[in-house]
Amino acid sequence: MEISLPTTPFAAVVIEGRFDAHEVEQFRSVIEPLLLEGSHDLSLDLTNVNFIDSTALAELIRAMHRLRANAHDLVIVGTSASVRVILELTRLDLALTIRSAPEVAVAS
Amino acid sequence: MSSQLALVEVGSLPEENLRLRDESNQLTGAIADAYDAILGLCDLAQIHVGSLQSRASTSRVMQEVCRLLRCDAAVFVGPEGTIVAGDTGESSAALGLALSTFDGTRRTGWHDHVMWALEPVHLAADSVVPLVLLRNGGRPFTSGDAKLSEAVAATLAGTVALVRLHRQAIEHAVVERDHAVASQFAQSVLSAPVGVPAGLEVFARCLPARQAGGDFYAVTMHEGEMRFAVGDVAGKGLPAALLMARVLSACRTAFERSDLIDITAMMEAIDQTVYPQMSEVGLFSTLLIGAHRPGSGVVRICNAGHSPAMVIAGHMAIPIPPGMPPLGVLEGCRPEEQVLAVGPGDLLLIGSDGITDQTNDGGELLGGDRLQATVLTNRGLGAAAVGELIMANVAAHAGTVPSSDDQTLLIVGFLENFAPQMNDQLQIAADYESVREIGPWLDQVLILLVREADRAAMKIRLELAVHEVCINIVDHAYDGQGGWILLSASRIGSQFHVQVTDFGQAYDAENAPRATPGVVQVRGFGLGIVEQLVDSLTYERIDRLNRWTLTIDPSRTKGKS
Repeated sequence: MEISLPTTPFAAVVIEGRFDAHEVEQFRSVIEPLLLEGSHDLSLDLTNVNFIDSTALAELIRAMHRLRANAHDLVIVGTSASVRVILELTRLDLALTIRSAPEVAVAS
Repeated sequence: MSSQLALVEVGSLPEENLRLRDESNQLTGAIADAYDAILGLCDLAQIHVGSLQSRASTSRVMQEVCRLLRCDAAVFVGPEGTIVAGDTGESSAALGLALSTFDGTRRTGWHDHVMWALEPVHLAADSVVPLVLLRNGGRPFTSGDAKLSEAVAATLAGTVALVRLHRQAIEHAVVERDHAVASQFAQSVLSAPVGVPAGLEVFARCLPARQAGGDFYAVTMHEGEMRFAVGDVAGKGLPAALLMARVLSACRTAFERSDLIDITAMMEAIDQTVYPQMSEVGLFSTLLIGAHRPGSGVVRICNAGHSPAMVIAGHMAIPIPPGMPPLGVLEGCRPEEQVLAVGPGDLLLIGSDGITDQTNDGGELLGGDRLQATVLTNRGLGAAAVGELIMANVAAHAGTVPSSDDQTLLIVGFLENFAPQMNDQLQIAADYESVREIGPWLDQVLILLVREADRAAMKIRLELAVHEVCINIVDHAYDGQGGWILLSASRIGSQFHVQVTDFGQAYDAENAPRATPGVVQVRGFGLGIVEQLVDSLTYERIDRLNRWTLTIDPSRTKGKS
């Protein structure tokens, strides 16, 4: 898995490759400082995630709870087929904020 | 008698003496006759006990009847035809008259100077035949003769019954011997497999029971492919032997046909050949046929109601369930193909119920569990050694109890190495990183077992589903402490199965966290996701291991792809 932090007016994280239980520690290490800062929404680009599991999904939920507790949100921008499948199976596509990349660009 | 003698002495009259002497002579003669009659009856009994050669013995009885009843001729209209003793030349008219009056009761009469007596002989409750006694010269039949002829008729009936029983016993023995010879002859055509290619090891044996059943096997090579069959025709003796030869012949014919590539087409051809005869005689046959091309990594099976059958892969015994009923039960059944991946060291075992149903002195069956345990424990010895071991174990279990059914065993050992290594099994460490090996393994297995059109969709569903089960095992069965996870894949008909086995704690279904779709929670998504991805998810706790079985049937449309 590769994680990058693009320069944007808001906190943005791009994840590529496999996002599963084995990668959760790395994900936490990157995202924790952003959550502690707590001053922005967090944009998460999952367009190029080719595999995601329930453990990774749980991390997204945790992040969402932390952000919403501070009146911010986790915004999923771009989803791969694998991501869409698991979000639909769990019906979390209705709970998470999901936008396409162009929408985010416009919003920013 | 003593009082009469006293009177003679008192009277002393010569005439009275003469009369008494005559009476005494008559009495002595009657006693002598009665004694002769008793001896004659004894002779009759000795005849039918001493000789049971059908018509000859009845003829001898009839001659004795003539002598005993002082007849010139006796005629018995029995089940084997009319038997005549003496000369009927002068009495044919009387004989005809007597027979014409026969109504199942005793009668007497005369014609010209010939006296006749008609005695009913009761052979069975609903079978009464006449015995005609003829005396020339007007000698009548007395009431004493009637008693004697009644006894003679009973003796005659006994002789006929004994002769019939004796003949039936001989016929039965002859038929049984013929059946046994035919059965043994039929099974003698089961030859040892020849031309088994390198990379395969085959053990084949059929031990006929005392009264041979209908077990058979066949192993042939056809254009580089090994094709094999194991079957069991219901019943024993000649019918089973004849039908077994027919099914075996149909198998061999199907195996030799170059136009039959698909295993289901072979089974259909066999079924079409044998069904009419089986249906006509009301018999059926289990049959498992298979095909394996060395190096392919798969064995294709079509199972019509046969058991036991299993693949021994690593530490697991994967049963091969029937995909259709036995042949002869239903016309035009659609065979179902099972494709099983096999790798080096694996064994394919097909037995007959004569092995698992063998009892010991206590009436205890050998059973499928013992058979499976023997194979699992000794699988590393190879097909031949495992086969010999199983047959020895069956014999040891039986002890002095004779086998009541044929015992047939076919074991194929797969020795070949594949390049690249392809296997239906995967053993991984129970940690997050090792779980990632599932995806590449599934890629290989799906190539082997699933048609191309279904692979992509199945890969997406299966990889996530199996991954989630394994993560669940890492987190909960092993509690993050590590262990081993074994995976195996197989396709049975249109269903694709993945078995996931671990040796950790039992799954606690009641207390396991489960997510509610749409509800935002952190834990419990795993198995809920799996259940939505697969058509069937089962869990078993077997001794100290946990076994999850995931099943996907691409032919079903549940919108899960």
